[in-house]
Amino acid sequence: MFNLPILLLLLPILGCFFVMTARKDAENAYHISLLTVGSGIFVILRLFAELNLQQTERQFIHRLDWLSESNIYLSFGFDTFSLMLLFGVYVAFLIGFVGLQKNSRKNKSLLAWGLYFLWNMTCFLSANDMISFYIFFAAMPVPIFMLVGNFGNIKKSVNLYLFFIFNFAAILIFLCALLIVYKFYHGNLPLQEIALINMPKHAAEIVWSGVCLSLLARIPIWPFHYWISALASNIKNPLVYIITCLLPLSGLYGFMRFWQVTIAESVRPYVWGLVIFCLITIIFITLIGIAHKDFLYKLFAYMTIYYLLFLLAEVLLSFVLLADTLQMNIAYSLFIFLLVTSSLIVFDLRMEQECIDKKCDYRGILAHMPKRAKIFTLFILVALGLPISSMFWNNFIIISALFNFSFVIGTMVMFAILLITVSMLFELYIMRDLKITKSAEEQIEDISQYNLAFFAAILGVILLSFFDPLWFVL
Amino acid sequence: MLEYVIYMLPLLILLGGISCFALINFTQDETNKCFKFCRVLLTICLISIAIFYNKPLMAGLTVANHFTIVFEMWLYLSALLVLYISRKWFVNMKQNGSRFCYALLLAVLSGSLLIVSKNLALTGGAIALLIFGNIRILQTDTTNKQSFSPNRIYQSSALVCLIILFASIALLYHYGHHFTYSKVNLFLGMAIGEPLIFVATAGVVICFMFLLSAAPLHYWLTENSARVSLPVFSYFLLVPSGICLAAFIRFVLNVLPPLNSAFALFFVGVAFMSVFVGAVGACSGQNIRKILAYGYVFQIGIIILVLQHFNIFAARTALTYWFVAWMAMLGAIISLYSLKSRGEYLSMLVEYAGAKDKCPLIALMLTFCLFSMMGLPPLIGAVGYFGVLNNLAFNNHFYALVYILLMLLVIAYAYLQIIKSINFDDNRNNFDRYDKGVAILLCVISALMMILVFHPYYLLEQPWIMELVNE
Repeated sequence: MFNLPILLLLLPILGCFFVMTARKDAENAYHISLLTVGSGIFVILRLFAELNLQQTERQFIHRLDWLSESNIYLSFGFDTFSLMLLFGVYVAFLIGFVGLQKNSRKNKSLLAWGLYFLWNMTCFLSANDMISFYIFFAAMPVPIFMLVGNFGNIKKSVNLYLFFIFNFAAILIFLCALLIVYKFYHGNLPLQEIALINMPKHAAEIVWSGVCLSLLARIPIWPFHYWISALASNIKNPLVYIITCLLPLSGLYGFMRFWQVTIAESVRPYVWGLVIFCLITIIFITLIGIAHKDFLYKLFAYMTIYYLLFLLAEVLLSFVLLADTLQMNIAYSLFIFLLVTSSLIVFDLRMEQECIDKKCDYRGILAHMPKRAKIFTLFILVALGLPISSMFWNNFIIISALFNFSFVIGTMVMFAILLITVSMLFELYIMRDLKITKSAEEQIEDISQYNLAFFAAILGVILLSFFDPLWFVL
Repeated sequence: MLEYVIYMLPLLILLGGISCFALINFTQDETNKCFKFCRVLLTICLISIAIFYNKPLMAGLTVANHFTIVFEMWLYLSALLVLYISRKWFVNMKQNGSRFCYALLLAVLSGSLLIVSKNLALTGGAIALLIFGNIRILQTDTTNKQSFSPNRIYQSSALVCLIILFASIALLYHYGHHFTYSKVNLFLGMAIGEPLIFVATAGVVICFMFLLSAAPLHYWLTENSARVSLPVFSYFLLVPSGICLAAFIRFVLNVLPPLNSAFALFFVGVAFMSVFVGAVGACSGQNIRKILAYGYVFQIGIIILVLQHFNIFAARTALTYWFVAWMAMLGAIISLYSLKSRGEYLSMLVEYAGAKDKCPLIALMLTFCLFSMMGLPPLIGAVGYFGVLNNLAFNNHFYALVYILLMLLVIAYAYLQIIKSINFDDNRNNFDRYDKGVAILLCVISALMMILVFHPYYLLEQPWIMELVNE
């Protein structure tokens, strides 16, 4: 068999090199990017077909001896959980590429950095040992820094510096933890064997608190939320916005990998502090989301709440030994979440651009775009958690488990989700309200046939997941 | 007798070249010829060194092993690189390059002696010659009216340093009756606790610190970096660093071990100061060369911090880190040669604004080099930092580890300023088309960096390092 896992690991970086060598102001770089992401999705589907879904351990493991004398190697492998997330990331990228405007499609730098980020994400999600995990965890802020710096309309460069320095500090904390682990273990070790390291209690506390802190730095939780909201508020490029919103996924994924086996016991005294911070953030971001008139900000608040919901589920339910069984529910939910939020980002940024170009009002804009209005409404309904996607089932299980653990926490999370979704629905009403429209609507163009077919296909994937989240596995 | 002459061929060729430049007055029109002549000489020397790699130049005074051959080869290659990139500057700026070639040959001659020396007197002589070469290099910049000042700072500091060095060597000889490293090592083992002997040894170490521009003896490099011409700047950051480091590591491993406990604290102090000065100094600068010079001081601080353990593993880590940092610095300096506006070489951060729009390849290379200097994976710089930090963690120096990481955060801000200016700021200058040769050189360096990322054992698992001890 042709080595599919290696092909998947190499595809984005090869695509990145091809894009860099493409001619300036030509669209072939864009086509190469689409081809890269499309081929990646094909390989992922093929890997799903080969994967033993019943097995919880990593499969298709490939090991590269990096420094044999120091027992340092890089190892990559896949399980259903990581492959599901990878699938979601690739489809989100595809949506981002399709959502690019014509002039952005010729921008080599945007496409190359985007593919470089995708490569980092692919290797990160398939990393099977501590050092590979660290390398690609640390590599991610660089493409985001370059993308946001170039295409993020940053008004204050201090925000950009803060973002990088803050993430760099998190990387260095992780490196510190890794070095201490290396000191006790005398070499690299697979992620699933981390719990076996024999460390003194204080060393374990330092190491896992460090890992926990560095992973938390990626999730928009108070007081670490500032950088992501400051950066995201000005981004007008859909691909860059999607990439920025994918960064918290790396922190969440890290928690999923480390929490149960190692962190939970060592940092148990601080868990309630983390829960309180999560709940405070959820409440505040909900209120800010409601107060903001910008749909994109509401969407940002929605994404933050969901990331924190998954984090809470992972952290709290591990104490009642439920997190392990819930992990796949989180993965299925995250898959739909990535697809829906990416599509909504693309739709909203397109409409904002349309409003600027045609000098028309944002209110009632959807009333003059019937096809776009239908697709947009369906995506909003999926985001609300209505029973039309697997998100409904999986969120139901996750939230009811949270209710079961603590009624207060469950109520707070449910209340926040309810408020933000109502607020998004209200925004949808405003966008569709014909009475408030004042400008020359005839000029506004509806979605193109090509885009309509594409987003209808995405909706098809989402709707089919309602019956079976892994319907695409033969 | 004839065989010794053949083994000394590189030195004789260099001496011949130096004599030519000293005796013949080349005009500005002959700059190209001078560089070509210099290049041919260095290439012949490189080949002869590769052929007679295991033959000592002067038995008893020098040593020939895999470590010295690696560094000698590096020295000639880096001198050739500096010659290649500097030639374009001299031709563009219509300057006479013969003085630069002459000084570079002097530096290479002294460097090849310093790398192989196992005798304190020879080391002292080679250092004096290197300092003389450095002074001559500083005199090459005839257009810059400020060039007098850098040379004066360097001359006065170097003179004091040389006096300290020769006084220290004389003192060690007076008490130990030997110049050879191994004999001095034995003598130091018997003289532990003698304050005068410690002071004499410290004198030699201080001289090395000056040449490496470790804080607080860094001022000559950082202050001059903004004032001197680009070839002189690139020479100081690329050539003497490796020479002095190779000689210093051999001195540390072959002479200093008996006094390790006394010198460890001294090394830590100097290292902490260098790291601090490098990180904070880099943040305060608006001149890109000054930022890189402070970055170099920061790197030297880290190397000295690792060398406090006086063992072969520390030497290996330090050399790996230095080589990785040197490659990133080389890439950054070559990028500076490529970014010029209307024939003028730039130095201030604002002048580089928006360079990415006109020279995307160069801007990308410079960006990657700077990220590599921060130690971000998957770039090669991460390998160097991983080695250094692992060494500190292994030896339970967690306070030093945390300090380095904090300072790394500080210096990252300085590098980010350069990256931001080049990539994100609006274009203000009309950048010239870059030279294809320089672009190819950059591609070669990036390919080399990529190879090392995938196969770091070429760097980290070098058996030739083991030949450093018991020479």
